[in-house]
Amino acid sequence: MDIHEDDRAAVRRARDGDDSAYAELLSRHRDRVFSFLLRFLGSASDAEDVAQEAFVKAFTRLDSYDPARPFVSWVFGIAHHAALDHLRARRPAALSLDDRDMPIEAVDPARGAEASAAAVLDAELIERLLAALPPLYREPLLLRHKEEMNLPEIARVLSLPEGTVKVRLFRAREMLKRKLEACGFDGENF
Amino acid sequence: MMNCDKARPMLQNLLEGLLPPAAKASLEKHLSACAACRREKSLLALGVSGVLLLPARRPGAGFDGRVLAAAAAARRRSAPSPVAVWALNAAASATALWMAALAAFARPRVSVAAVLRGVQALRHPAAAVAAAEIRVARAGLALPEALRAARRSAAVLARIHFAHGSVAATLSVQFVVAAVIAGLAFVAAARPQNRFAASRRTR
Repeated sequence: MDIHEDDRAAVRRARDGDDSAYAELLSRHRDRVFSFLLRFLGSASDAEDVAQEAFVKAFTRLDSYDPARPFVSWVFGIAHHAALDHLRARRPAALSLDDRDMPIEAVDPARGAEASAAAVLDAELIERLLAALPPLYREPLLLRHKEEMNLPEIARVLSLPEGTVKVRLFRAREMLKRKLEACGFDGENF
Repeated sequence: MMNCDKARPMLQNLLEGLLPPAAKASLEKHLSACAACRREKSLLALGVSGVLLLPARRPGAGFDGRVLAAAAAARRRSAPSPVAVWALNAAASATALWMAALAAFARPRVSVAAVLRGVQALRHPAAAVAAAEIRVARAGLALPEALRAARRSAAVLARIHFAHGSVAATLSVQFVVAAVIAGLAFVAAARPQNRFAASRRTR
């Protein structure tokens, strides 16, 4: 049985009142949703609050879940909306689409000459580069390249037209590329 | 021959595997000859692979317990009291009986559609389901159909109320109501007076 079928079976049991089934869904998807929110919101405590809100909302709305869709994508959609509400209430400026050239710490130029992406781009650096993108561009980038969702699924999660998602993805990759250049990576060695 | 202005916007689609074979071949030919575009492609690929390599993060200890406790509390808050559930069921059942009586004995000038709108205005799913049952019963006036409608109604109501521990109550009330509706529909179907009234209306 694949993970989606396992999820669907767990949702059916949770709807029938089996609380252990929801605990199973939670432990299976908690880290992915939390990681996404942490990178979107930039704060572990905010990400934890919003992740909790999203999973509780998902639990109370299990009756509206469409089994034709992956459960985790549905939860990502709820998490996205909860995170937007959180930002609107506390940091509305973060919802700007402007690339404000947030400062990134300089990188040792010698690192740019190393050979592989894994060796050069350690997690800490890529986290810093991502954090320097506007949150609304970070989202599609994470959903596409970290969560490996396709364009229609991302559009559904973000409640945006596919065209808008495509444009944001294109710009997000361009911004990330510019920030890599600003850090001293020249692309010659990859 | 492709130039850099045409090649650059295609690089992302190349990385995503979205280019048709001819365009891909043309772009790759350009890349083999253009160091600047190769550099652009490498930087884009580096960013994408960097995102892919990001590690999963975990919330703090006790996260699952907090979520499950909050979920249980939310369910308790959203559940109506048993008294409210019984009151709603009673209201829906009374409405269903009233509608069944109208369906069976109403004179032609009574607007059943208007009464149905009133039932739906109660804004309770059970009332809407009961109204739908009446429609079925009026349309067919056949006992098996009315019983099928009643069974569907019971299933819908069981799903609505399963979380509130009143499944047995809901089913028993609805079974009685459904039996009465079916009986009335059957009687109405057998009444020659009603058939005569119906044929008069169609003339």
